[in-house]
Amino acid sequence: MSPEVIQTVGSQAARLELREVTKIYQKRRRNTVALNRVSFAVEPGKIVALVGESGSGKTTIARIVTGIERPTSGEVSLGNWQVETLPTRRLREYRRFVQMVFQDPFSSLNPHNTVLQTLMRPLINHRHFSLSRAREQAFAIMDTVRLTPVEQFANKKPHQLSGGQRQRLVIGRAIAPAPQLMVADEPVSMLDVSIRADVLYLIDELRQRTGMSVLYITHDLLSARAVSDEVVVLYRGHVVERGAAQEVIRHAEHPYTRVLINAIPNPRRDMYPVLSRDPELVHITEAGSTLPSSQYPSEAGALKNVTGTSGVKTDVAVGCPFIQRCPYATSQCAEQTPVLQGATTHQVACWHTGEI
Amino acid sequence: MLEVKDLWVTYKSRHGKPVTAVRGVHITIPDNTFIGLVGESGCGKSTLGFAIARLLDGRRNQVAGSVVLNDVDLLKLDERELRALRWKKVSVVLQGGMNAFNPVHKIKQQFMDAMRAHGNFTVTEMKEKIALLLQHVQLDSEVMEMYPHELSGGMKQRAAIALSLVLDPELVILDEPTTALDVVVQHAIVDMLKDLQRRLKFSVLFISHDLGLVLEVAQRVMVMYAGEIVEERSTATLLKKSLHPYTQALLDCYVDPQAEDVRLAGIPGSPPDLSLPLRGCAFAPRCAKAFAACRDEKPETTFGGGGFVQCHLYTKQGVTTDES
Ligand SMILES: Nc1ncnc2c1ncn2[C@@H]1O[C@H](COP(=O)(O)OP(=O)(O)OP(=O)(O)O)[C@@H](O)[C@H]1O
Ligand SMILES: Nc1ncnc2c1ncn2[C@@H]1O[C@H](COP(=O)(O)OP(=O)(O)OP(=O)(O)O)[C@@H](O)[C@H]1O
Ligand code: SF4
Ligand SMILES: [Mg+2]
Ligand SMILES: [Mg+2]
Repeated sequence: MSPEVIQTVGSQAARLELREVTKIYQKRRRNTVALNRVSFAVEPGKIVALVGESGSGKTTIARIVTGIERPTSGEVSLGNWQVETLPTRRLREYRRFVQMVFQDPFSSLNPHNTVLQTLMRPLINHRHFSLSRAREQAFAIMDTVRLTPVEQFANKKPHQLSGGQRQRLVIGRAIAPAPQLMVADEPVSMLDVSIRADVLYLIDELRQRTGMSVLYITHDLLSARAVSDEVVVLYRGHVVERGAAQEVIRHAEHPYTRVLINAIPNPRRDMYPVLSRDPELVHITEAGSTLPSSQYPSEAGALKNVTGTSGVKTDVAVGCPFIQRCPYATSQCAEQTPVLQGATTHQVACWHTGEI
Repeated sequence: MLEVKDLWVTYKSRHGKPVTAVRGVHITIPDNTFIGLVGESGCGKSTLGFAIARLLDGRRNQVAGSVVLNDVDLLKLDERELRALRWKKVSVVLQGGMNAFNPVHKIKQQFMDAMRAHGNFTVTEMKEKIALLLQHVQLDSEVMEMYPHELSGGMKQRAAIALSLVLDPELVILDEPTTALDVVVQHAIVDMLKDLQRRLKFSVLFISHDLGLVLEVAQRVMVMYAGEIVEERSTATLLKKSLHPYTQALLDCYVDPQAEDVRLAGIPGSPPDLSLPLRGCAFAPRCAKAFAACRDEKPETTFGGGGFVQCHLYTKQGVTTDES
């Protein structure tokens, strides 16, 4: 990347913080607690990976951080922006600073726009560049995201690009407004294993050069380990383990984190430390595979329906959210909800941390 | 046993150039074998699966070669003979097939339709069979009374696998059966499949772009690149020593997440355009070990190590390989 690009792409670093964020979706008969008092931060210029299986609440966090959705309670801030109370009219302005990259690069691109048009638009709309300056900058971004030779790619449309090239275009579009935060929701899960590294390391390189922070959402712990500084493990809307990527993945404590590690396809699995080959955990499958869907886990089984003083029914979690699948559960796990404990570099929410 | 000989498939389209997605494939799938087919997106995996199951429209596409199942060349059968064979001999779960369940019918309906079309069963017999199949894929028998939207993605995929087994086929072709699912569900389904195949002893052609996953379930692996099978051997041998540089590069994409240092690898470049004629080895432009012959001459197949490889490193004289 040329120094000029770094300058113009460069953004101010900002800290993202979620404090006790709860999101409850109201349904006809009962409420779904999609997020339960989630707290974590992304320090300026860092990459934090948010991992968890389908339905754990990852996208809900992304929607709350980008202001598409408001939390039921709790606070979200990015630098000086207080997101959860932001008036709707200021959201547009805010969104310039928080850019999303989605899973499917195809559906998030306008099929009629060329690469050049796709990259020029945010420069004109958000940064009010003149046409010629936007054009020049768009070429610089193409160079940065390696859509080169640029002259050859400038006039291509999305269907003429490979999957990896399309995702690099989406990333280029995301950095164009000089965001403070990039939220990448499963950016490589639709790509071949052979091109994932390329796209992930591009994101990594960009945050190093521009200083933006990155919230990287994935269900793949391996890629989380490879590019992120910190990992936050989400299970049914609860943060069950968090800390430095190296710590969380090499010394996973929570049984659920170990299930995730065990599920990573790995031809060299035999090299795994004994830890994740725990025979009990190998047999934990997806929750509910033998259950009819009425019991399928989107609503935590440990939820008890309580009627509050206002007379409105709300589900309140009691006990560990992982209890139904946990081979180590005891009566304490059923009665009390474990909270995150431990040094800030590695915290676990499990009553039996260190014993299993 | 299924034997594919010199199979070629070309898609013809009114707009655009014809695409030759399968280019002279020779493979054998023995009975009672779980075999994986891997390769990057667009290399022709689904096309090969379709051609084996005769799902390609022969009038619009050009299919040449032979697909022999127990002495019968499937490519020579007429529609009526084919229909008799489907489900009973070969069944297919299509890519994204879990979404193929008709949303207005209960799950059991779709099983019964297939059973009625192929035999005389009483309703009780059918229900018993469905319950057994659901049990095989670790679903509760209640699932048969449910509608597709009441099932999670993983449950639907299990149901689709159960449906493919309804008439006890000899070969089941599963095209990316777990790709849309998250890692934990994927792992569980693949474990279940492996166990089921070992117990019921049918053959599976498991198509996936994820070599790591395939190596965990399959007994043999075929690696496809640009319409050709470039390496085939048993999983155990492949894990010990893979010969084709493409297979090696794919394997290098997997690292132990708990290793001290984790650096993801990829394969630079992208696969060739299958609408163009290919010269030399199709992988040469991306191959770290390529030499002059690779760009000009098509490598021949070299047999050995209980399988084969198609690469000049093993055919050219005077080339030192790390094989000794
Ligand atoms: N608009 C909505 N209305 C009701 N429930 C919702 C809504 N959006 C999400 N949910 C529920 O909230 C929970 C979390 O969903 P979310 O999409 O955040 O999960 P995710 O971790 O992103 O999953 P995936 O990996 O499948 O994308 C799920 O139980 C989901 O069914
Ligand atoms: N109906 C069609 N008409 C023309 N070309 C086609 C058609 N179907 C597939 N192709 C082309 O044939 C090639 C092989 O496609 P195929 O679907 O077999 O690949 P694949 O290995 O299954 O890929 P994926 O992993 O993405 O499913 C691709 O280049 C594709 O664009
Ligand atoms: S708190 Fe109890 S149920 Fe929850 S993960 Fe720990 S041992 Fe298992
Ligand atoms: Mg999501
Ligand atoms: Mg396919």
